Amino acid sequence: MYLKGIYDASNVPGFALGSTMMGFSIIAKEAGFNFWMVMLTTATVWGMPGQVAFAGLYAVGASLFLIFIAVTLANMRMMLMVISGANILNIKKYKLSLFRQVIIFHLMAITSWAQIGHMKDKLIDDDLIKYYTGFSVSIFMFGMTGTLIGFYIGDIISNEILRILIFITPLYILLLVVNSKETFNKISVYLGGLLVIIFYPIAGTWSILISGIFGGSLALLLTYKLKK
Amino acid sequence: MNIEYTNLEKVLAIVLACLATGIWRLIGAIFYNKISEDGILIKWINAVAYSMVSAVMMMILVYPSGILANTSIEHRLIALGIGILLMVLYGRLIYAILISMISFGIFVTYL
Repeated sequence: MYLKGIYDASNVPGFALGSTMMGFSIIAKEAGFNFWMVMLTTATVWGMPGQVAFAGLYAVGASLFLIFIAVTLANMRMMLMVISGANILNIKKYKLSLFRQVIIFHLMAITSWAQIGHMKDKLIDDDLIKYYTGFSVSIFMFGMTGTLIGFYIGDIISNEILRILIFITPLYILLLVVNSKETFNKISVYLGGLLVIIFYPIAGTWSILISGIFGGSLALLLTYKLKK
Repeated sequence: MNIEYTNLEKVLAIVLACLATGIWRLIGAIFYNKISEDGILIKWINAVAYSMVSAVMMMILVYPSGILANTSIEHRLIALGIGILLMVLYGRLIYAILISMISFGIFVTYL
């Protein structure tokens, strides 16, 4: 199962995430990050929206406090993903040490979370956590490699190619979540996607939180009403 | 315009960015144990997580920054629509992604 995770990660997900991190690396270099800052940011933050917010604010010389607040808000969904992901993986069952839990949850980012949601009905518990380990570690390696490559080849690769590569990650994640098995999760995806288009011009990055809470709650409510 | 940070500020900025994300993961790690596996709360958390992830991705596609901002919104959304339609009709992820990606490439290059 570790190998299946590695194999699956080495297809579209790894390619997509590597390209996205390449894009981040180019943005961060433009913002004034040196090589070690770019690599450390990807390794320790491991959450694209927060990383982009960090680079964007760093570029304009924002205060460290503002950077902290912006990254905190941008990556708040990590909490929900960890709770949801731990539930999907049935982590409770394994009585893991705090250190192992920290590693497992650090690797829990959108791609890995969406992938285990996609695979949860195809694999049993023990296989799923092995699959997740192989998948998430490989994805992390792809992300780090993409960051490394992006720092050096950003100046060489044409924008025409780069924009297609950057398009793959949101596309891949949206197609994964739109295929969710549960109806209320499926409705949540459509509602969240639609609401952010309306709220973003008014609320900026807060629109993610607003759309998430409204979209998710409304989807759950609608599903229960329809069942009755 | 790049404003110079001192070396200490650079290190602090990375530590703070790491903490800002780590805090949420830690809170999640503390609370997952206390939530019933089949209860309404976990369903709500899942629904909000799905909705929020979708919102982040749509924000990147509809209001992009950087290189993606140089492409037209119609091209991005039509290519996404093609992918979603194929996914809903056939449920084959890899083909949906490939056809959608190729469509996007054609749109931004030739239209």
